[in-house]
Amino acid sequence: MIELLEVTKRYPGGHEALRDVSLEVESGAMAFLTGHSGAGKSTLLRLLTRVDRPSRGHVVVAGEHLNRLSERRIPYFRRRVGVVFQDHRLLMDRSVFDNVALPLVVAHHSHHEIGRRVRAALDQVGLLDKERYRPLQLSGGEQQRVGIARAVVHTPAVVLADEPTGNLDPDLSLEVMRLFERFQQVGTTVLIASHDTALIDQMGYDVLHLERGRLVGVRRPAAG
Amino acid sequence: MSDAPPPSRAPRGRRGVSASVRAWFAWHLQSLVSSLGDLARRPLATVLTVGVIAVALALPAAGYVALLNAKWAARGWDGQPRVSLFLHADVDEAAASALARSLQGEPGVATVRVIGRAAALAEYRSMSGLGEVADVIGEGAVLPVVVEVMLRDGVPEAQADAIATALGQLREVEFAQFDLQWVRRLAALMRLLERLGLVLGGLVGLGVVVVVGSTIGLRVEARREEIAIARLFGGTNGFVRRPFLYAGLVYGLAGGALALAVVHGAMIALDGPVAQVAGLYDSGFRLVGPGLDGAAILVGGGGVLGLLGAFLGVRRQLRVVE
Repeated sequence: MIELLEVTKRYPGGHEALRDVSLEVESGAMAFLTGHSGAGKSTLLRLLTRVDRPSRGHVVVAGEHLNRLSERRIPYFRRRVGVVFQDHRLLMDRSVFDNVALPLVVAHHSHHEIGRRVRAALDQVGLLDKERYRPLQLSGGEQQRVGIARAVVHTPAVVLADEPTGNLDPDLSLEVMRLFERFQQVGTTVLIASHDTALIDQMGYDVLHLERGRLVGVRRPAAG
Repeated sequence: MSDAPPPSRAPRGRRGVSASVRAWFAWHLQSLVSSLGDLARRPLATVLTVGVIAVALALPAAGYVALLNAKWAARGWDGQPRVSLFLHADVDEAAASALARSLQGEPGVATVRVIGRAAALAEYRSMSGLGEVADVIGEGAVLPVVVEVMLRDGVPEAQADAIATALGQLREVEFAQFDLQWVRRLAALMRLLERLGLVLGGLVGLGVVVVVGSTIGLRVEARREEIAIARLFGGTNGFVRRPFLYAGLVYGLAGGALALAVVHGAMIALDGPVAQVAGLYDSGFRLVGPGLDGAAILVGGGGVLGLLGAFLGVRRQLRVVE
């Protein structure tokens, strides 16, 4: 579950990126976060990954009250979260396998377990035959799928994605969204920041609309 | 370098502790292998860094070995104050022995020894390296009988001076040589060289820390993106730092080992000429090495300095990166 209660984020210099935002994404649900550039989507994702702390209000992710989380526990909290970036943020000098294995390596899984889980994740995103490739040998869509495999390989409770289809054509974008949908269907909470309204409408999930740091609307899909 | 999970509320059984220890070793082994792989991927940079550390460590190590050898060569000069009484030419060895007996037991006197003319000539021939001159001089021709008076250890300098002056005024004595000063000067020189060695060693150690620190800092900077991503996926401080600390340790150990090899190489190169010079003085002196403990200190010290440099470098650069 993701929950924000009257969250305000003010940066040094006075800029208020978020103001009194309260929202909730239920456990195992999928939702979209929309809004123009500068609306506060990325700031909100930074709060949810505990990269930043709110200036005011409460943030709860996967049962963790992030305001109360000590520095020492932050890494262990992050092992329960998967993150997908618009620019993939893959390690270009490492193989696809090594990139996907990273969350398992930091959590000190055994070699056997890492091999098993990485191959399962790559199979899910359709890249099992490319585990030895370097990211630069892959297309943009394939790179994004590697990023998604990395985000889910450790079976996190929550997956957060920041404009995951920003650089992809419509067909690839839909394919990537279907991947997220599959992870949500097995119980992962998924929150995707995107400004691709057409794609969001096509998917039919809750939409949280941010504008100038405020949550100005929550649109729920029509029943049935 | 702790990377243990946060405290668990559930009590741990013996099997749990054993598994944790095994896991701890496995993580460290993994980091060590990862560090070695990273160093092997950049062989030139690694060799250059290790070379710089080795040269830096070899300097004080060579100084230490030189001092060790100087002390070894001077081991006969025990620093005990002595007064050499050169007797008048007309004083024979029997009279000298009588004088020696009369001096034995005097306050401040430890032992007394008579060096006869023949023994003096033999010693001169042996120690001076001027055997041929001695042959020309001829046995017993000019050298006086000498009475060597060793003073007790710890005799105050003023009292030693007074004893030497009194001995010099004895009727049989033509000239008294008080041998304390030069021994003191030698000991002081050794102490000075030791202190200089420590200062040099300290400076070089600081240099090694700086070299390793800046090298590791550059590695952290080069892996900035990887570190940021590892952090986002739950990498702890220990996880991020550990490979860099191992890299620093490896740099230091390899630098220390190479420095040891350099010192031994220099000793092998110098051993022959030194033995030749010692032979000319009828001495069997040979160069002595740093020994097992010296080698352990050099290599281990290199490792500690490398680790310290890496720790400081990674801490500083991680602050910048984050």
